[in-house]
Amino acid sequence: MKSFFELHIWPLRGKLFRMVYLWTKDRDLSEDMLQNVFEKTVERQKELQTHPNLNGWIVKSLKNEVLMHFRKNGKIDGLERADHIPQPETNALELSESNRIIFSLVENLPEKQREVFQLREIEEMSYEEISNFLEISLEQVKVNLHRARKTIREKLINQGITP
Amino acid sequence: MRERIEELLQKYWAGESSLAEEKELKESLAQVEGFETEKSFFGVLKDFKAQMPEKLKTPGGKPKSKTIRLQWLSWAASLALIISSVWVWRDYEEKKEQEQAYQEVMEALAMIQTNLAKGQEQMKPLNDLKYLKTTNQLFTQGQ
Repeated sequence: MKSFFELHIWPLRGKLFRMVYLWTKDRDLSEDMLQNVFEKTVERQKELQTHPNLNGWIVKSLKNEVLMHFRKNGKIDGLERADHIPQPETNALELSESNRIIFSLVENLPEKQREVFQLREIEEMSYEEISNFLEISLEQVKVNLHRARKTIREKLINQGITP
Repeated sequence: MRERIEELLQKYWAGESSLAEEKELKESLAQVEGFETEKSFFGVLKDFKAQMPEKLKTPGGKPKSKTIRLQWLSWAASLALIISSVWVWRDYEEKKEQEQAYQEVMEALAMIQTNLAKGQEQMKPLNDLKYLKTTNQLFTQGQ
């Protein structure tokens, strides 16, 4: 029989990893942070088993983990300004063309718009699922998605698909 | 089909398309010529979805088996506690019995000693007899 972690948390690893990857632009760092949060979920399994919004809790913990890391390194004050994080050179060289394009497309998008964009366009989640994941209202999901699409469309019209 | 794609694209950029319509849009785009920018855009999104963590591990083994191990551990601990309690209790009882037996022996010895002393005391007058020189004297004195 599968454990609580294997059943409810492990299947989210792809989505969560891509979310942190979009914030940090660093594969290794993203995996380390996700690993830390996964350790916490096991430590607090009892509490999380009855938590009303497990997904929301995990996303919030991940955000805290990323913010704490960047604050410790004096890089940013919030994820809004995560675009200004310089990409590690080794990772920049390894980045695929499509990753560069994605990073360039979401660049300058406000934090919420970027998160909603990822969950809808990449993860193909419903408005309800996104609202639950990010702990925001359905209306906020729609508004943020519309704004994100508008900005990205303008980018596509003006620059085309370029990294 | 091109008209349907145009319609779906319009809804998509207006943020009014459903998940089903977005799926239809992506599938339809793959079947027609043109729409290169849109095709590349959705292609890039699809590529990014294939990004998966590579080093991530299930933390600290399976929590389920951990629970079982902890349960076994508590059973074992309880059993050990019961066995050791019984052992300590039996050891205590044994020592108590030994002490009691020792006390009884000591009391018996003390009683023997007291009675012996009493006997010796009562034998004392007989000791005076040794001052008599002969048994005849004993009888002549009495006469």
